[in-house]
Amino acid sequence: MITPAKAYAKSTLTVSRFCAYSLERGASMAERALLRRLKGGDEGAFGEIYGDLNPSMVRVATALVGNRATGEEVTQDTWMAVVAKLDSFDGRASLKNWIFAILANKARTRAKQDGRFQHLELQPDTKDQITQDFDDMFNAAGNWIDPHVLWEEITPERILGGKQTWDIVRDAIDQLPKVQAAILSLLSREKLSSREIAAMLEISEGNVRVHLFRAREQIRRILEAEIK
Amino acid sequence: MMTCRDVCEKAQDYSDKKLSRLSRVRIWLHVLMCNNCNNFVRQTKQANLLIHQSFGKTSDSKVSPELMAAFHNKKK
Repeated sequence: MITPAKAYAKSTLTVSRFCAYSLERGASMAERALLRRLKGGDEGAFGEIYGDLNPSMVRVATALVGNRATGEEVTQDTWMAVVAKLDSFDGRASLKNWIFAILANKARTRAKQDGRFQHLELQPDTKDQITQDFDDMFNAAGNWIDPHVLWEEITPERILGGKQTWDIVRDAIDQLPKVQAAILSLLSREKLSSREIAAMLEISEGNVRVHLFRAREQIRRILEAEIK
Repeated sequence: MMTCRDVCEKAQDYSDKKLSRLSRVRIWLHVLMCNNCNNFVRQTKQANLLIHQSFGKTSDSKVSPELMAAFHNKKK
């Protein structure tokens, strides 16, 4: 049984751990240059980093607070906090990780206030449709039951059922559980490691891999269905 | 010997090059002999690439006037 006090203590510990990882990573040369421009009040630089990080931030906040509207609000509050604290940020850690640490902290606080706080950690025996389908695809000896056919080459520009492959993939991402969409975005768009993602979302690295596996497999199946 | 199910469960890690050399060789040998798994692994690689590309750094997010005003005021 996790009490609110224990949950809060765990959350504080995890945010500190995430910040420690971001210190390990450190700011890149490009980030330092961007930080200098931001501190100098360059609006172009602010627009640049906002456009760069905002989509992933909304996905992460949405996963943590449970709905998109509140996720967008929390993201906006985070940007306000970033602007207010920017001059005190020394640039030793990665700017991106610093911003995401503020976001995760704010989203958790908001979720607790709204009584929506929930751990994203999967229980060891949690089976979803993907895992059950795997059970149906193979016999007891672990061999395919039905032959698995090869796709024709698919490109982003290829039209499938009246839609471009891009649109199908993006729609499929939007249909995923919020935490899975957030993990895909952090990994593919922000290039964060599984360890950084795990610390940010307060789940184990093993859980990050399970979510990632399910998300990608779900999208592969949607593409397969469109091609057939 | 790895089963087809083992190969498919590891196909994503194989595609991400996150497996040990021994596991990679075992999958490679299996895929060499098994058309179904070969097809599955190729699909997994293609799907992962598309997912990755769909998160490209293009964005239509625009800073709200309120937020830009806060940033502008910080300068003063």
